Amino acid sequence: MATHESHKKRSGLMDWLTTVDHKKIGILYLLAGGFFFLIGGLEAVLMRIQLMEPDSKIFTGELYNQLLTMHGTTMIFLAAMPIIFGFMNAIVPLQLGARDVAFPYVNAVGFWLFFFGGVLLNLSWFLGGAPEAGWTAYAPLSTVAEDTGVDFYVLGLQIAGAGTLAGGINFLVTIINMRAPGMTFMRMPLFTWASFVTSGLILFAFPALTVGFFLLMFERVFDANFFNPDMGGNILIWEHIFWIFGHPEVYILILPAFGIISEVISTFSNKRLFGYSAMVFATVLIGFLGFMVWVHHMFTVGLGPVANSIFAVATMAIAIPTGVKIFNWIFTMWGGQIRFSTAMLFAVGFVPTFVMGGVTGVMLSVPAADYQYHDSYFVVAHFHYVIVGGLILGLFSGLYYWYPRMFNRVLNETLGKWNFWLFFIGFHLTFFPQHWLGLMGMPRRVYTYMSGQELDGANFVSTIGAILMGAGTVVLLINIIISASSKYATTKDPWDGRTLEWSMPVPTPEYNFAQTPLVRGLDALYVEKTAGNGAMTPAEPVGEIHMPNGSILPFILSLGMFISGFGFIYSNWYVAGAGLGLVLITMFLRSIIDDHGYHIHKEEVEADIKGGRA
Amino acid sequence: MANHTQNPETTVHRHEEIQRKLALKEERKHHNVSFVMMILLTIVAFFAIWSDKISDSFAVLFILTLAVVQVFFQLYVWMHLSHKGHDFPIWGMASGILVAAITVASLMGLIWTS
Repeated sequence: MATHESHKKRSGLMDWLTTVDHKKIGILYLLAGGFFFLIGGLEAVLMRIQLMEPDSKIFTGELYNQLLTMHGTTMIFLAAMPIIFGFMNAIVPLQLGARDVAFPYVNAVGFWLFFFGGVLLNLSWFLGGAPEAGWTAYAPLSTVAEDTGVDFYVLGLQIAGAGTLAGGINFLVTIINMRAPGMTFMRMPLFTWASFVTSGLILFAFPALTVGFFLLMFERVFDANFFNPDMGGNILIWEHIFWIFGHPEVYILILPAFGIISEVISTFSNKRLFGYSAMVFATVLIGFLGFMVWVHHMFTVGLGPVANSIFAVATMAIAIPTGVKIFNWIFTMWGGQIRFSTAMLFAVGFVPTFVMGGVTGVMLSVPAADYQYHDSYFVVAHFHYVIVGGLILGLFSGLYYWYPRMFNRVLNETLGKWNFWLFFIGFHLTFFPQHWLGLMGMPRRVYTYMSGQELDGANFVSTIGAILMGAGTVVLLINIIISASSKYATTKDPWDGRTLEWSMPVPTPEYNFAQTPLVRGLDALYVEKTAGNGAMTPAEPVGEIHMPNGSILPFILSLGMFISGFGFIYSNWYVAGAGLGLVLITMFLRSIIDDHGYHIHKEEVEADIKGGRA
Repeated sequence: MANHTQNPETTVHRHEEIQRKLALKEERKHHNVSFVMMILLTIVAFFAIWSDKISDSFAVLFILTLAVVQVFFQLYVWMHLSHKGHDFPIWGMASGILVAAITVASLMGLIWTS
């Protein structure tokens, strides 16, 4: 067997730009997503400052609309999804007992496309103003807007969306094909299951968005008339396409959080997850039903009572599998030896918060009542309860739980508890009063309100809450910074974990598993611990390990897309052509350069095992 | 003597060989049949449109049905979906078709009939 001498170790910046290692790409996703999370949070706080007092004139009109649009867009596409992908990258291959994802190169392409798409979108702030048509970009608002903001929105998200689609396909293939011996589907940890269903949703939902963005791009750049009723178009097509994507999108967001919560609650209750198969079934069912409910975003459009009723019933049906999950989490905790670490606090805080968001969701699913709630702060309160109270609490929980595995350090628990309580109390202070603001008639997306309408007090409280949430996030940042000190070095299994990602030493070896593990049950590591082995039984002898080479091509390919995006925004066809040309050149190079990767020799692996590094 | 011990093995080998050849022959037959069928279906579809005796509305539905049949020939005979180990491609395609069908059907119902 010829070994390939082409492998050269890169270091520093070049290592990160060329990496195809899922663990490093996971960290890149987490850092980039975290950065955009801070930007989106800053935009939220600025909006709350504007709304703190009635008749305030700090960020008015167009600027407020830009903040509003960019807050929603950034949080959904550039913060939440990349952080989810960060955890999926860092953890799913480890939980499967795999050495990497199925397509490491495509993984890198996915990250860099997302990154350049996000940068392109945010550059709009400095180049004539951000988009201001809302994160939903409804036509005709988005088609008649004259500045380039919406162009940045369309092109930036189109590029980022292509990266997300690549990532979703990658994880589908990885989970189907790369499971270790004995890791049957019904032995997969719930986070991996949630990642699997989420990837399926991405596969089916994102093409709808891609099509919608192409229509909008053609409408704006090439003067097409898909959404222009004067020329035979139909405004509603955009709304339908957007929500055919948009509703599965919210399940794409929440399912991984469900997965994280399942892992954390099971680990910190020292109990196997209650009703594992029901949990799996509920996850799949939520994913399935998620495709048949998009019209509940459009009840007031006037599609008629039959359409509204069908989609209302489908929407209410989703409460059933979600309720199954809630009860299973409670039953998992029941009788368990609960350890209230920060990760567990976030998970426990998640359960009632998400239930509150779910209850307002059922309220909104009644079309007759929805006519009252529509476009009011009640809706804002509802979706922040499920997205912040659900997803973000889940992601924080996952961050504290997996931080040792990803960064070889633990986060400080005292600061973690400050982080949790500040964020949790701040969250409820911010969004709970918004239910009443909505019921009292305060419309969403409007930059001011008059005094004397009894809206002042609740708005003031809401802003105080937002500042507390900001303070909680600052505590998290401080925690991350001080964790760099060697005082916080971790052991390989700091939480007495149950799943495979805690079975290898820290730092995780480049090849994850020196020997592919043999999985003998659900919670594979826990099975071995109770059997008295303490470590996984290998399924193969020590041997050569085949590894992929890093490559700068994903970075250059995405840079080409970024450049062509600028070309299309400013209708400069030379720049657009040059960017796409760069993309084609990198594709060509990727096709003709034979790169078989390299091998880590058996002796190196044996030395690692002896030295406790694998 | 030596032949005696080797004989069973070679028989097994020969049996496997024969079975593989039979399977191949069977598959070639399937390929031939479906190839001829696909050409015939294409000709029928062409005639349905070409002929003036068949009304347009019927012809459209008719060739769409033929197209579905062709897709199944394509997937099962030529892309070997009938073979073992294709569960996931089948699941993926079925759920994709389901999602697309729901979307298209309700979009057509909601936008162009109301």
